[in-house]
Amino acid sequence: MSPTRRPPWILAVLATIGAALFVLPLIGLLGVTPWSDLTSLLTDDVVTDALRLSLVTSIAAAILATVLGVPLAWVLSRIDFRGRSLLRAIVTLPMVLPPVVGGAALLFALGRRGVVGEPLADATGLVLPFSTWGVIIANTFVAMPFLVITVEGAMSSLDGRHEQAAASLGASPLTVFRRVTLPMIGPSLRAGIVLAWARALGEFGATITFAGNLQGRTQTLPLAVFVSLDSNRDAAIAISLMMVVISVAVLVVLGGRWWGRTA
Amino acid sequence: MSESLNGLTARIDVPRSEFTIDVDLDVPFGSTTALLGPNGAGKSSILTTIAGLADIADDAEVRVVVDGRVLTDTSAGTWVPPDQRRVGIVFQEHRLFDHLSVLDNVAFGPRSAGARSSAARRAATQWIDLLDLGALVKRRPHELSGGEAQRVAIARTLAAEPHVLLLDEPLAALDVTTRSEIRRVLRDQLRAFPGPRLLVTHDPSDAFLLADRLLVIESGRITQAGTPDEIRHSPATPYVAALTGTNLYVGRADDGSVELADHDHRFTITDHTLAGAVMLTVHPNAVSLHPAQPTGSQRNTWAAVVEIVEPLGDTVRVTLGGPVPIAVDVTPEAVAALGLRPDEPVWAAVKATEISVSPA
Amino acid sequence: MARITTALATAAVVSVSAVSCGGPDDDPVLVLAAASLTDAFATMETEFEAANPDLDIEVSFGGSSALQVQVEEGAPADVVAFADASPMAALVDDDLVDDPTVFATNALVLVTPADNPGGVTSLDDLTNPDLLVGVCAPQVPCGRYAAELLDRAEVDASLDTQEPDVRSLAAKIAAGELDAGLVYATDVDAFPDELELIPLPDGIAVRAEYPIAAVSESSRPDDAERFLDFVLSAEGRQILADAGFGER
Repeated sequence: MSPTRRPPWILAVLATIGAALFVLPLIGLLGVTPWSDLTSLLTDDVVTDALRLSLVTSIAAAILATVLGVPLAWVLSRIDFRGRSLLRAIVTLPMVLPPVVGGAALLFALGRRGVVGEPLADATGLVLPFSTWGVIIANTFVAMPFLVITVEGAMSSLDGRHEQAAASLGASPLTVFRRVTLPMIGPSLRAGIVLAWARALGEFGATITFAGNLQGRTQTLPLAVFVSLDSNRDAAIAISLMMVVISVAVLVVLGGRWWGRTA
Repeated sequence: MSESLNGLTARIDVPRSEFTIDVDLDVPFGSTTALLGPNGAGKSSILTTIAGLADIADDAEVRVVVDGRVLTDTSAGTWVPPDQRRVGIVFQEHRLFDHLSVLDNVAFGPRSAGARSSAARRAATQWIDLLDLGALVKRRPHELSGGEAQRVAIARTLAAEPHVLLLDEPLAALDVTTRSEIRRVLRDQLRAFPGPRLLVTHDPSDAFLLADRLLVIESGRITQAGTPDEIRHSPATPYVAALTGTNLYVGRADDGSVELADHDHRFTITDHTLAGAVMLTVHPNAVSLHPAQPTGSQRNTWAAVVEIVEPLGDTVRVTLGGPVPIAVDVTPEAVAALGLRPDEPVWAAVKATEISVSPA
Repeated sequence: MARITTALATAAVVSVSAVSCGGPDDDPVLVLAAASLTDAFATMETEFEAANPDLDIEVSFGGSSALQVQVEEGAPADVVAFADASPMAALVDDDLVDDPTVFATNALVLVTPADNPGGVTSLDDLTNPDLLVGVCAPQVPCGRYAAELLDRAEVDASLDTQEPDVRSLAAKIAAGELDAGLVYATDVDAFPDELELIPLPDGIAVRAEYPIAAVSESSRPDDAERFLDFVLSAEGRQILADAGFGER
């Protein structure tokens, strides 16, 4: 055991309080969990529908956030253009905006009467609000900043020397991006994807505002928890517990190593 | 400037905050030119400009032509992207891709040129064999020693089949023994490479051993050009003299001796008429080393301490520290006989007739 | 539009506290009221305090079921007013409130956006899967009323959303994002220019009854009684009528 492993007492105390902030609510949740009814509560079709929908939409949102967010992070970190700082600030807006306001803003932009939504509906008949695609869009909106911030940070900390070497070996800019930049930021990219997925899984406010609440189509687990909270608290607790189990399981199975730790 | 259809010509005029880089380069097909100069003289900027990796400021004038193909011409607005230049570059810090195996690092160039994975690996294998890297193909760069990594980097650059080969201090990051090994590898590969080769280095031994022609660059300008012999025998500036081993000092002459300006030492010379500020040179061959104070006709003897012993081709360059720093070339036999090692005391002697003095 | 934005933005906020002046000596009289009473009880507070300068009222709004839970958990409330009989009945069963009185009624109505883009003329149009139709979630009173109404009319509606908050449902219809929906008559008063009322046939309409009661454990039963009397007075009834509520 190296001497640096023993933390100064002040750090140990603060870290313990910090950890307690996370552990205590979990204990509270476990304490009120209706264990004997758990099976029947969780096999209710409202819950199974919400679970399936949550998994589908959160994974779809993580994929969409990656496909769109990685190029966005690349542009923010590599291209010098007027308004870059402004764009970066706008990209992080969903992290500070209350999600409900974000959902309302999405409605005004992509809704049936929205700036973009109206011509889109006229041209293609595609209406995003109150659809599963609407849930995915809302999830992506709140989750993508986590990916963009993580990936842009990693790309900015690359000094470009390996990318230069690749270019001098005849690699086109796209090849450099695909075969050098992306693999080199691999750990950060994976961390960004996990963060985005986790944020999407827990997303509530933007979803209910933009996509509404309908079992099997737009009612994800957090929405099911919310509508059950007043009327059927046991169901709400059971669903919350299931969300905790899913996210802990995913993070543990992926392991620290998958997102950049050596453990 | 004439632009040969076979070779690299570059005209680079780039203002920087400290000084302006202003050089004309002409590297003929099949020859190696070394760009020799102190750190910060602008050598690396010249290479990255030729390779198309450096941003070109608005007030810069650059024209780079390879085998008649214009790669950069600021006056015409021509700029070929680096990936289309066929200009290969070996960096001081190998810059290998750590997420790829040694084999895939070497196959990177062929892959980028559009070859399928299997064909690219076949092409890479030729270079792997040539550079004797067969045992390392599956390793990752972080599992390689410095010398191994630089050999892989050389193979990777050559496998991309560049038309021009640029080397940016390829030996500077290596330790002394590895350096001489990689220097031999480089000498063979440079000879085998058909196109123009441009080597940037601050180490004269690399330049003398690897290059056909030397360009000395100081503060962005070429201060001397010539073959290694020409430069060694008639250095044009104190920097070149110090660099190539010719010992150059300044001092004041008075009645047959020179009091050095920068060192606590007095040299006896033959010319009793000189007086005032002078420049004094002592060729490394003119200094002899002895285990004890020599007697006889030698007029200048002093006790010194060995600082550096390094092989330089067929001879060994010994650098002595105080009271007067001086470079001495001796035979390997003399090194063994005298037991020359860093920090060992030794006596140095120079005949007055071997010291050339001119008014400064 | 600003009004719709505000309604959407506050849709998911469970409890909205009204302005509290902070009485000089006493704690204010705490009233817990259903979300659909927001406009009416804000006015009620102002008028009551004007008439009774010695008393300070604080109204906290929320979903009726959520407020019921708060009282059960021991919230220091003095008066409760709900949008539905069942949460009040639960409190009566636990002896937590005294003698509830119905002080207002609200009607569930069929509305469309102002220009009725879906061409909705009757409840039967709600079965059209091409139209976007919204009601309240079955967990809240307006959702229970909607289910009751559709059941009574024998309409199997093709629903697109079940909003947990009637105000956000009304706002989404007002914004034109939904073609039709079932909201309270009082919500139409909140969006007079954006919502269009579609008349329902006689005998179909569902009437929501709003009960009010003093909390048994109130530390100041006399002050609670004064506020109750004010709500039931002619002045209080006028405020409720202005907000679109029906006579009890």
